Order: sequence, then C-alpha cells, then structure tokens
Amino acid sequence: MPNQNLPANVDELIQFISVNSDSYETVIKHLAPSLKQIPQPFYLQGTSDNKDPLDVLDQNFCSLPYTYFLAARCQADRPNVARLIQHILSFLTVFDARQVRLVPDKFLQVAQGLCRLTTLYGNGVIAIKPLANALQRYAPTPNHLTNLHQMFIKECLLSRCYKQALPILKNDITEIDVPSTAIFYTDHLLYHYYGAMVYIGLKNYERALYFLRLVISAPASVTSQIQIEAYKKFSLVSLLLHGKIAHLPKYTASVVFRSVKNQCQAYQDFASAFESLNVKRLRNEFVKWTDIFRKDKNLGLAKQTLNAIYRRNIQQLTQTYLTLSLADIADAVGLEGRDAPKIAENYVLRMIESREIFATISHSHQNGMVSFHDNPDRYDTSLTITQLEEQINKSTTVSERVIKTDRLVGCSKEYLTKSQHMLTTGGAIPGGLGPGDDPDFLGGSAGFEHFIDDGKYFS
Amino acid sequence: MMEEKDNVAKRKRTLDITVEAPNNLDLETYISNYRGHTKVDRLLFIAKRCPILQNDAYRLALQELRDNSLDHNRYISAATKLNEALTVQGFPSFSIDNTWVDSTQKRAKSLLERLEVELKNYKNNLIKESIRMGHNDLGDHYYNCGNLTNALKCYSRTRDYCTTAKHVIEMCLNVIKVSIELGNFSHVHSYVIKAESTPDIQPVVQAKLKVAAALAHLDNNKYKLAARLFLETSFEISHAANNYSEVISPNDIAVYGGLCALASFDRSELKSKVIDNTEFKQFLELEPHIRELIHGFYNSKYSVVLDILDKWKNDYLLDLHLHSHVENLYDNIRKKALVQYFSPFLTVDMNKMAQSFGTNVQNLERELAKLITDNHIQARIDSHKKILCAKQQDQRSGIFYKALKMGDEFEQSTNAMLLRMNLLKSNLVVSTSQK
Repeated sequence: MPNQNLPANVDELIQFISVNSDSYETVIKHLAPSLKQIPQPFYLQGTSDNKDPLDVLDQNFCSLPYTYFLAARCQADRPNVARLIQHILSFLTVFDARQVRLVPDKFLQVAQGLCRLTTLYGNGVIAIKPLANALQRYAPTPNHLTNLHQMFIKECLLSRCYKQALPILKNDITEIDVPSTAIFYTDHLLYHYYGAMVYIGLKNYERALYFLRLVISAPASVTSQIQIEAYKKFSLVSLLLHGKIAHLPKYTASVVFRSVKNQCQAYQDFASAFESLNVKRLRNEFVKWTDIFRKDKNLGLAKQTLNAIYRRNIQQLTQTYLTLSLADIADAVGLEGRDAPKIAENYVLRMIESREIFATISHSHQNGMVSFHDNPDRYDTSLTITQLEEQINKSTTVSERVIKTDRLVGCSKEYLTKSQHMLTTGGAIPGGLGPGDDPDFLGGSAGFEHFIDDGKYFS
Repeated sequence: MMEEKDNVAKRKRTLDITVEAPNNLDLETYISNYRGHTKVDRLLFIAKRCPILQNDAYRLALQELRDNSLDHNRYISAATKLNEALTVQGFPSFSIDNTWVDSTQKRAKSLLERLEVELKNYKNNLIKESIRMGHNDLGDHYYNCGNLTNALKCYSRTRDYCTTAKHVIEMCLNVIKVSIELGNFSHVHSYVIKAESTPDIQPVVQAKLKVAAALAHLDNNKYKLAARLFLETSFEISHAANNYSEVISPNDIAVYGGLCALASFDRSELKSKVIDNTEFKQFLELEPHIRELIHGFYNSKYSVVLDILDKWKNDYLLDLHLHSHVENLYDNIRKKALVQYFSPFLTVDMNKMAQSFGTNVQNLERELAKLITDNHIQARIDSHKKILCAKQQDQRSGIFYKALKMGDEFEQSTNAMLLRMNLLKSNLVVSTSQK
C-alpha cells in the first residue's frame, strides 16, 4: 500500500522528494501518485528547522512537487504576496515541462494564482510576459491547446496587452491532448473567442474571423452561449471585411445554425441592410438595434460598420468607373449635405493611403475628379517570390501534418476494424486510401481545389 | 435570387395598371382567334384594364356567354359591371336577358341531376369505360357552367378508369385546360409530363402540350425555358381542325415565343433557334412586327427594336398571359441590347450610345453602372470623358492573386479540419455534460 509509505511530516516529505526526483521514470512511478495523496495542509508548512520548502527544493529537478507547493500556497488565505510572486516568477522560467504536464490542474492553479496575486499587488501586467514564456514551454508543441491558453489570453485582454498575446495566437491550434493538458471543450471555445477579441482589438479582422469561425463550427450536440456570442461578432466582423456575412463550414452543427437563427435576429437584419449597401437603411437598422448591440458589448464594432459601408461603396465604384467626380462619388455612396464632396474626398484619401483602392485625385477640373486605377502590383518583384515561397512552405507544413494524421488514422484500431469489415462485406474502404501509402492527393493540382471545397475526408 | 425577387416585385406592380388605349389592337379580329372560356376571360380582362374598349369587350363577352355556355352567374356579373360602366358614362343600361338566365339555370340543374344519376348507374354496373365517360360528361357540364374546381375534380377522377393511352391524353388535356384557367401552373407541369410519357402522341397533341408547358414556365418567370418550348411548337396547331384556340392563338405563340427568346437567348441561339427555325417562321408570318423585331435585334438596329417594342407595349399589357411579364421582358431585352451593343468595342462614346438607345447620357450611365455591378458587362465608365472602356484583364496578376489567396484558404481550412478531427477524437464536443 502506498499509503503506508507516505511521509509523516514535511521533513520526510522533502526527503522523499529528493530521493525520488532522480529520473523522470521514478517521478512518474513513485512521486506522482504519492504527492496526489498527501493532504493539502502539508504543502503550506515549513520544515522543522524553519525553512521554507520553496527555498529548499530545486525548481527544475523537483518541478512536480514544487508545483504542488506553489498551488497550495496560491490558494492559502494570507500568502506572503511579494515572496510568492518571486518564487512563481523564477519557477516559471526554469520548470521542467515534462513533470509539470503530469499535473496540469495544479499548474493552472499556479498560473491563476500568479495573476491574482499580481493584481492584488496592483500590477497585473507583470504576469503577462512570464506567463507567455511559460506557456510556450509548457505546451507539448506550439500547435497544442493547453488548459493555460484561454486564461492567458483572457489576462492579455483584461490588461490590454494585445501584442503580448500574438506569439501564442499566431500558432494555429491543431493538436489536442487531453491527458497532459486537462482541457475541456470550453477551453477550445474560450481560447479562440478571446483570441478573436484580441485580433479585433488589433484590427486584424481576417484572423479574427478565422478564430470566430472555429468557435462557431466546433463540434456540438447543443449550442454553447460562447458560440452564439461568437456568431454575433462573426457577423459584424465579416461585414467589415467582406461586406456580407461570411459563409460557415458545411460541418457546422445544425443546432448551432438553428440557435443562431433564433437568437441573432438583430445581427442578421443589420447584415442584410449592410448588404443592400443602402446607407439610410443601415442607419435605421442601427438605431433600431443600438440597445442590443450595447448590451452585447458590440456597439463599437457596429459603429465601425457604419463607416465601412461608405468604404465598401467606394470600393464598388472602382469596379464600375474609371473616373468620377467627387460630387458623384458622394452621391453614389450615400453621403449627404453640403460638405459631402469634402467628406468623400477624405474617405478616398484614406482608402488610397491604406491601399484599399488605387486612385488619384485631380483638382484641375471643377469639383475634383477621381481616377481609379488597377492594383499597380504586377507581382513581378522579389517580394512576390518571397511571399509565394512562404506560402508554399506553410502549405507543405500543413500537408505534412495531414499526412501524419492520415498515417495515424490508418494505424488506428477503429480504421482497421472498419476497413476489415468493409473488405469482408465487399464494400469500398472509406476514403479509398490505405494507411498513408499515397499522400499524392495533396500535391496534385486537380485534387487540390476539391480537397479544399470538400471536407468529407475529415468530417 | 435577388433578380428573382425583383421580378416578382415588378410583376405585382404591373398587376393593376390601366391602359389608356391600345396601339394596334382591333378587338373584333383579336378575339375571333379564340373560343370558349379564354375568349370570355380575355374580353373581361381587357374590359377591366382599358376604359376605351370596356363597353365593346363586355358586350362581346356577354354574347359569347349567352351563346356558348351555361354560365349564368358569370353572365349576370359581367352584365352588372357593364351596366355600372354605362351609368357612369351616361348611356342607357344594357337589358339583361332574364328569360335566358332562368331557363339556363333550370337546364343546367336538370342536366346535372341527369348526369349524376347516370354516373351512379354506371358505377353500379362496374363498367370502367362507362364510368370514365360519366365522369367526363359531368366534368364537361361543370366546365360549361363555369364551376372550374368541380370540373377539375371530375376530370381528375377519370384517371382511375383510363384504359388506353388516348384516354390518358384526353384526361391530361382536360386537366391542363382547367388548370391554366385556374392559374394553377404547377398542376399543368405535372400533367404535361404525364401526358408526354404516354406512347404514340400525335404531333398536334404534342404541340398543345408544349404550349401548355411553355405557359407554365412563362408564369414562373422562366423565360428561357418558355421560349424554347414555344419555338419547338409545331405549326400544325394553327390549322382550323386541330387548333388550340380555347387556350391560345398562333399569333400569341409568335409574340410570346419571340419576346421570351429575345429576352433570354444569346446571339447564336437567336440565330439557330429563332431565325433559322422554319417552323417558327410560319408563326412569325402572322405577326410581322415580331419578325422585324427579332431581325432588328440580330442586326443590331437597336432604335428599330426599341421603336417596335414601344409601339406594341400597350397591346401586350392587355394580354391575359403576357401582361405581368411585359416590364420584365422589356427590361431584359434592353439589357441584352446594351450588352450586345458594347460587345465588339474596346471603347464606346456614351453620347452616341445614348442616342441609339433613345435616352440621355445620365440615364445611360446609371443603366450601365447597374449592368457592370451585376457583371453583365466587363467594362468601366470614364464618367469625365463619358466613355465606356472594356476592362483590361491582367491574367498573370489574377493568377498570382488567386494562388496566394488559395494558399491561405488551404492552410486555414486544413488546420481547422485537423483541429476538428482531433477535438472529435478526444470527444471534446459541446454538450450538456459537466466537467
């Protein structure tokens, strides 16, 4: 019985720890199960010669027990804030990730504790950077989602350190490993929802849209409120970006579609008003739904769309006209009043600056004449080559990941039983590919498009 | 989708329009092409819409009802309307033939009773053919009395007793006729298909079915399909012995077919399916202006086209089937003319273009802008110099742009699917269960 071997006091505990911390194997075999059974108060005490175990233990070699001590102290009633923060911060720079992954719950408590303590201390920002570093070491690969992700991004949001979140957010999450990261479906939803909010704050709408889409299309048998909130933001962001509500993947759960339809009336009406490109109609809808937008905390985004509709209209004009006077532009995009041409000029100027349109304004004619041009980028510079190469590299990485997954599926028990069953009953093997033997479908240009459009291989 | 909505909205707007005066319509000759219900329907339709022809139309309708039907209810209602109109204009009122009404009422009733008794007897004797005849006669009677829903029921009932292909076709034609009058065109479709699947259809029947299906497509705003069917219709339908004048006249086929074709065909189709179509040429002989219209369009004489369209517009607004489509068809034809006008050029002076289309530059610019936004014309407007310029497509840049975009999309969607797959594998599904 392991119970009998349990240390009776802190001194013994530390002894026990140092004996068993030699190798990873002994840590897993002896230390981990025992530490779990030790009662919490143990972790709060000091040794008999009045030393703090936090000072005694090595932060790297004894990462596992150290996590237990820190977690317990973070939850204690009256911790020594400054000292504890010190300990946590230094621990976060040196911990052994393999040991820590054995107790993801405790590690999360430490991280949360750090945030709480620093906030108590009056400066939440100092937790951000160490956490970011810790998170990068803690995650098995940058593509793994961990239980720390969503709380970290949330902290970034709360302390408005959007940029600090980027090194984490820029890695697309594709890997899920529940045992070593202790995640729940809300981790996935919240991480991507908060991530989208960070990107919205940084005005990277493309990426925000991608994150929100992940939330909405998450596998679901019921609809989560997070998904509904995500859809609200999704509709506004896609208006800003594309002028209409972007499409959702086919595999989006039908319950989600239904709940969204029932609960996001305001956003859908607003979007169809935007799609009509009718400024007056959009303003009316905006007035009508202002309270709802405010309640959902989406008023800022909604206000941006009021601006975006002019830009969208001007963009439309570039498709239709080569030259157009400022007065005509003002008229066509729905600007009103005596100053309309001036405002229109302002919009055009700003859009030229941000390279949304390519145009020149000439004031040699009366009222000012705008000439629209095509995109001057002829794609014949070294920049294009760099871009293309970068893109190809990325695609190859993704493809490799797919091939790896394909092999894993091919080796999985489910696949083998199923294909065996199919063979004996004379049916075709699902997917048509043996385990990883022909990943050619990724390289063929003809199959490429099909591969994107048709998610059947994965769903 | 949007366009369809647009079409429906436009149709509603033209539903109750009043036509001041017809351009070329001669009521007597026009209506002599028809017989039966459609004659009355068309007359009453014209009477409702065109004040000038109102009196004559009502009189002709009353005449037809009295001579060739037992529909006393309709007779009375038409007469009342005529009298209302006459009183307004200060003319002496029309005297209703009450003796005819009374006697017809009685006759219709006794006939109905007799037919019902006969049918009952047939049913007792269980002879299929007699039962079918009984239902058919009863249907004919209801039809004569203007009770269309009951007529439809009786005709449909004969279905179970049809023994030969001929019977099936007879049943189908009856149902189609009544359904067209009721405006139930989805019914028309299914029965046309049913009839066409029977073996050995005579060419005349085939032609009738084509026309019926075409009308159904027209009602559904499917102008291209309608045009094709009208154009495939055999000219045999115009022979006195087997005409379809209880539904449509050969002149109508020329007009409907011509307009639908113009509104929906491209140039090569117009040439191969309309101008080189010997069968349809015979129809066009009946309505020379439609022929002129089509040739004008094909030869790019747009002022002629617009002129003819304008001249005949009021007449078409008085047509029972065509009226609600006139605006749509005209719009489409004009759009196509604009597109075709520009197609051979790199740049076009909008002043000249406006002249050929009988409009001013401002309006033309608006029309063109709409066409460009809807992607019908690949061009851009130089609003300063008033020139329309064809869009220079830079294929190379396009490819680069697309390739980069596609790479992005590939990366995103693949990553999303990998994530999804792993989520499913770990069973991280949004559900009501708690941690």
